[in-house]
Amino acid sequence: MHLDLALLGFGTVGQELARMLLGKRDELERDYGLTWRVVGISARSKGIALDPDGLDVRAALDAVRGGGTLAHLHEGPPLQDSSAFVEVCPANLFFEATTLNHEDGQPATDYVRAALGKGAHVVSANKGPVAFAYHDLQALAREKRVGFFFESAVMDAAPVLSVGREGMPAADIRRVRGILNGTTNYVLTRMEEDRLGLAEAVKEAQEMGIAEADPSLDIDGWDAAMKLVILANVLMGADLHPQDLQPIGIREVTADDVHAALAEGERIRLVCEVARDDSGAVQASIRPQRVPLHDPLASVMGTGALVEFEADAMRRLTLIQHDPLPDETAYGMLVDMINIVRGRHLA
Amino acid sequence: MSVHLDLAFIGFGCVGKELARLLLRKQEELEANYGLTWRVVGISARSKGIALDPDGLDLEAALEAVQNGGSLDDLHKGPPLDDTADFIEACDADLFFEVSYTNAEDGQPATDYVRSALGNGAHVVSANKGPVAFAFRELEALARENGVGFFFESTVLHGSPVLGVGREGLPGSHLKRVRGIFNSTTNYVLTRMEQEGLALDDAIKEAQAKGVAEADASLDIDGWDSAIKTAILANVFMDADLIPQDVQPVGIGGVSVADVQAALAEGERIRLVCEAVRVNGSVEASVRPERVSLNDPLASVMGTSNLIDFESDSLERLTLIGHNPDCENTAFGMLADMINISRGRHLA
Repeated sequence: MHLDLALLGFGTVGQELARMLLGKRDELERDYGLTWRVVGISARSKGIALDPDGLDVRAALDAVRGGGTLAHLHEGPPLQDSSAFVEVCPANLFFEATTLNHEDGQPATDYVRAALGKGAHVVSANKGPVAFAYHDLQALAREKRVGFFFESAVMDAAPVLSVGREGMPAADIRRVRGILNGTTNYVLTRMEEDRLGLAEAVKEAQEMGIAEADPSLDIDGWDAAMKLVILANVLMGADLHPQDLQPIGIREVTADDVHAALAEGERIRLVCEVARDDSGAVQASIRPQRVPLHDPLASVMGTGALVEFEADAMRRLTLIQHDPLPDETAYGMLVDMINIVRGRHLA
Repeated sequence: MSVHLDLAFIGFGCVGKELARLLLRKQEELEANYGLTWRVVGISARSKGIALDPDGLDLEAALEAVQNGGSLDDLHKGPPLDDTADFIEACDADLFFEVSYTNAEDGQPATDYVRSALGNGAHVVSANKGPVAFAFRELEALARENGVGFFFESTVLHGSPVLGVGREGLPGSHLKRVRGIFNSTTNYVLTRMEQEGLALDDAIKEAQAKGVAEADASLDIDGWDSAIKTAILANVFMDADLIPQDVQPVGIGGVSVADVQAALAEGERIRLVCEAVRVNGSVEASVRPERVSLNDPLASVMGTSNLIDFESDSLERLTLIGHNPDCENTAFGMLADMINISRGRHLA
């Protein structure tokens, strides 16, 4: 199979993905019969390049690394913005890795809708479109018989969604519980290890590139809320909206709280949970909780993450991602592409 | 797309019966969500007789018969069959579930059963570790040649999606190491030695009384069950060509309560750790009791639970834990295999 690819967003993740595609080119052809070229890249601050005959990906990487733009690689009439880009770009598959908008998932949701509407596959690492419009976008993808995959939206490349799809087909998942945000877990870990105050720990996380300049999305639980909505809607057939959740973040947690818990054999973790009761109603919550040290949740330190499934025929299955590498998000997108090539979206 | 499968069971013990119940319970859902319809055309059980009916057996009647200590022979149509080998020859199933006993020495006769089913162009879903541990490459090649599936998710972690994660979650990546706790009996015994100060023999007796351990617990205690599973993972994930004997397992027979307590006093637990790791282009596999730090997820695995860790070039470390598995869990892994074969996962 041959795929013409386009990248929406060309920040850290997009560039890492481009390098990974180049690095694995021979292997993709040998093991999956997949050849590819990139026909377009649209980056917020670095310009737009579209070339139906194929872009030089190395030249694009060099250009942005040198602080330049992509404009010199562009062929054809100039394009105003990413919407115009999606409209004219002849790609078979769009990688969506633009900035997350946690309020309404836009404009990424419109990009995804437009790409799917044209009959192109979409692989997204962006939580917004999935958290705000999963059922709509999935129906559109199905109608067009294209793939809409987003493994990296939750726990990077840790195969949370593919375990649901491939490892637990026909299972009735009744409860999902976990630690879904790396920044808050790092902060709680540092409050424990070095008795840092919340503000200090957040500052350290920012210096290490773990937390954003504005850490409130993480600290107040909104990032975790979006991921929990994705898990509930995709794996449990729920129809939640991020605003339906009223997350309680870790802003009120002190180093003293953390140590008081530890003295009693417990750790404080930002626990995300969604469960279906016997009436079929779905309840979701995100709040700091004490968990006993023998609970796998307590074993997750630093930027690690964890998700646990309970299903009718499987008592409890836990997945733990330890200290993710910086390129794991890009790897999850590569996995999605391979799985679309193998037709996993069709049945 | 819709698919119909005529199914057969080789073995009808705890897992086989749970699988039959699961098939019945999920019948409508399988049709609605996967376009999959099925009927059972044959069951061969060592001590409970053989039933073959090309027009479809009454599965509830079969369950009832064995539940009440009866035989399956009453449900059989056609000339009598001598044994399971004959049964496979005569049975025209599209997919065989292989849940007969694991032979840890050479994987027989189950390997012959699987070979003959695949050779007849039928899919095979096996929860039996023997054929996979002793003949994976050959059987996989035979399945490929015949365009059929040979899936065995339930052989390693009682149906937790270990092989599915490798196939679907980690394509295009290179596994450097798999490590884990693969045997429930030994982990249960180590847990009880710690919790109640039970001596090894007493803990084994308790495990037998609770149905966790077999009457002959030596395969578990001496590490052979773990070695079989480690060989499966090394061969499937790392292109190794090991048989269980190559692993040279060290079991927990030499572990005392004093050892368990001494470890705990130093913030560690003893676990029967299984590992396959790439070293200079080859794969080294081992099974032996090791001390692991209480901060390690391996130490958090208590009782009959199991764990596997993957380390690869793409994911630093991914851990899966299956908690307190039972026959239904194992049966569920077989159901997942059947669904995945029905949607062509063995083809690409």
